[in-house]
Amino acid sequence: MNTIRKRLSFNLLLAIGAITLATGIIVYFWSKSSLENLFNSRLLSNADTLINLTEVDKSRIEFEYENEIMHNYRTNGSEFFEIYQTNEKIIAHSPSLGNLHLPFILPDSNEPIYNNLKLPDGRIIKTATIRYSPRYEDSNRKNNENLEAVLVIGSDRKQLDNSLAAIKLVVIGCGALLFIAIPILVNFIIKRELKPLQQLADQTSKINVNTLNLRITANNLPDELLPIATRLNESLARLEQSFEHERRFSSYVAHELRTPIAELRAIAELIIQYPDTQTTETDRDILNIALHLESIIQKLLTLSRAERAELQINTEEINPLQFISNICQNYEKKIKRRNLSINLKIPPDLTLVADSTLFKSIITNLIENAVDYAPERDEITIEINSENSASTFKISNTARDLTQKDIDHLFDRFWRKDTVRSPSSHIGLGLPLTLSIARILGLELSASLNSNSKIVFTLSNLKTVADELHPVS
Amino acid sequence: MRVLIVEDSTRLREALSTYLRRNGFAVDTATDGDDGLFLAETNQYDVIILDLMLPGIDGISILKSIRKSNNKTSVLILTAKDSINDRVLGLETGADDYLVKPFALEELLARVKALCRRAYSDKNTRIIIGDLEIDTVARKVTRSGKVIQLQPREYALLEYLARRRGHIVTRTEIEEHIYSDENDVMSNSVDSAICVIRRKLAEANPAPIIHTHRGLGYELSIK
Repeated sequence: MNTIRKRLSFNLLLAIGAITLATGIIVYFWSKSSLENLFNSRLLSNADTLINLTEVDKSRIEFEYENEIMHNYRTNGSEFFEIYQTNEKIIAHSPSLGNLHLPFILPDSNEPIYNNLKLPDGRIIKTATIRYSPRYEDSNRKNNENLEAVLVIGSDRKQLDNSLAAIKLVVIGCGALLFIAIPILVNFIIKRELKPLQQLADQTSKINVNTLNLRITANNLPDELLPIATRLNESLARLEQSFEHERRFSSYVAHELRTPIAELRAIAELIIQYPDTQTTETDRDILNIALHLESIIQKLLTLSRAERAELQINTEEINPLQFISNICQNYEKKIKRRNLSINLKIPPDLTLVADSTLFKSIITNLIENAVDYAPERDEITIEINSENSASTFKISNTARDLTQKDIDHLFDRFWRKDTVRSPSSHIGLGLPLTLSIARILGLELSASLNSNSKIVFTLSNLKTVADELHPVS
Repeated sequence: MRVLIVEDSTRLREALSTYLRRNGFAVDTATDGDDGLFLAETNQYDVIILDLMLPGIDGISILKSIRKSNNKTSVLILTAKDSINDRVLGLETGADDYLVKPFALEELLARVKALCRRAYSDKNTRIIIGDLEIDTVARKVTRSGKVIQLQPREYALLEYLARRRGHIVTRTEIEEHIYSDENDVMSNSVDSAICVIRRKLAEANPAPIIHTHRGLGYELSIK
């Protein structure tokens, strides 16, 4: 019962059933009332004729039998009448009654009183009892004399009852037909009209964690369901992206942890089986693996804290030229070894406002990446451009192996291009961590690949001390 | 048996090569894809242990290259990639086995031995030739019920001859399968080793079982 179709069918059937039943009852009783009124009118019309044949002559009420009219009241006929004086004395009576008498009632007014009665032969007739004043022969009326008579006129109601029975039969027959037809029609219509909803439900039920690539087909959907399908498809796309992101992250985590664990396990098993293989070098290896694992976990925790914005921010003024030069000095040996050169394009008296610890973390990471991944003899360009109260930091180096698709994944946790595995100190957490820290500082970090195969990291929205703006020419 | 390990992690590569050498294998190593492909195409190995994510040429490309050149050496992929897709790709490219890091050294050894047995179409772990019995799992040799103590390389040589029993095995073949590039193979190294094995086997039963075919090589059989 807990489906829209069943509930809709039940309620519609209930409503249509009630309306049909009420309509049937109304039709029957309206027809009955109309026919009864028609019957009564005919009785009254006949009564008028009979009343016109009644007159007072010499203080005596007399009824004039007219053959033409009396034809209707012949013996064994279906029309009856009896005229009484108010003292119940019979004045006239139709041949159709034979020895029978219609019951005398003295109405209080001129309004007719209707009755049904059963004749001894089984026939049921309807009677109208009318109190009236017969017309006077003008010359015969005594002063203030007002004689009254009572006409009881009746008619066999067999035809009326037959008509009513026929109407009842038709109404009940139609009711029965509708009782069968309506549920079939209602079910058919509801099923047909709810088909798009059923299709939507069928398509939705096929979607699970493994089929997030499926989409709801919006073609032929009614307007009411179109927004649902559209929003559902949008949610699915986001969900798929999120699942893919998490799946990739889990895969990267597993991969980054598997190799050091494999190293640790292999060295440990080797030493246990062949104790003579244990040397100072193997001990150092074990320590280095432990430190590497610790570094991964530390970075993951910092990343998690950064993503939850739990890092404290203490802003201060920074001279970026000096600040960045100091960081570059830390990589002097590596820069020399790889024959790299650094081109600094930073105004000497520019002052930025930032949290020096977090800002250092961002710049260090970007410079370290450039120094480690730039090809030998490459030039790394670091520049800061100022405009109004904001500055933009850019660092670029050659990256021939990277494609635009790789750029889209650069900030994914643990992402590393397979062919760019070395140096091993990079585990693919630096850039996502840098991005999270940049966001905390209200900065925008993006990467792009220019036509010269140079990767450019851009850090924008850096706050500049307003009175010390020195745009780079 | 000669094994090539292509693995960029120095620690893992060294631990693996030490372990396999201690278990009687001749081991060559390569730190990147280019060296790995060169060694695989130059030397004859019984098994190649291949990492997938390598500097230079990646593992799958190496596998494709050696299979394209009709090299039927058994390849065991040793990688941190554990997805079904990666496994299917590796095996469908031509790998004979797939092992995910981290792993137990014993399991790796068992898989390498199984691949060696498969290379010689021999699923049995016990080789019996007359009164000589070699248990390739326990690496135990007995003759006439007496246990013969052999050095790892001596055992490797005897097992290699036993796997090719009834066939003449040349000195070059023995050198290629028993000695790695790192070993300085003297001109009489094989002859000396054969001599030592014969002496040790004769202690249990003086009947000769390793026969010299002058100018051709050696044959292990009962005549």
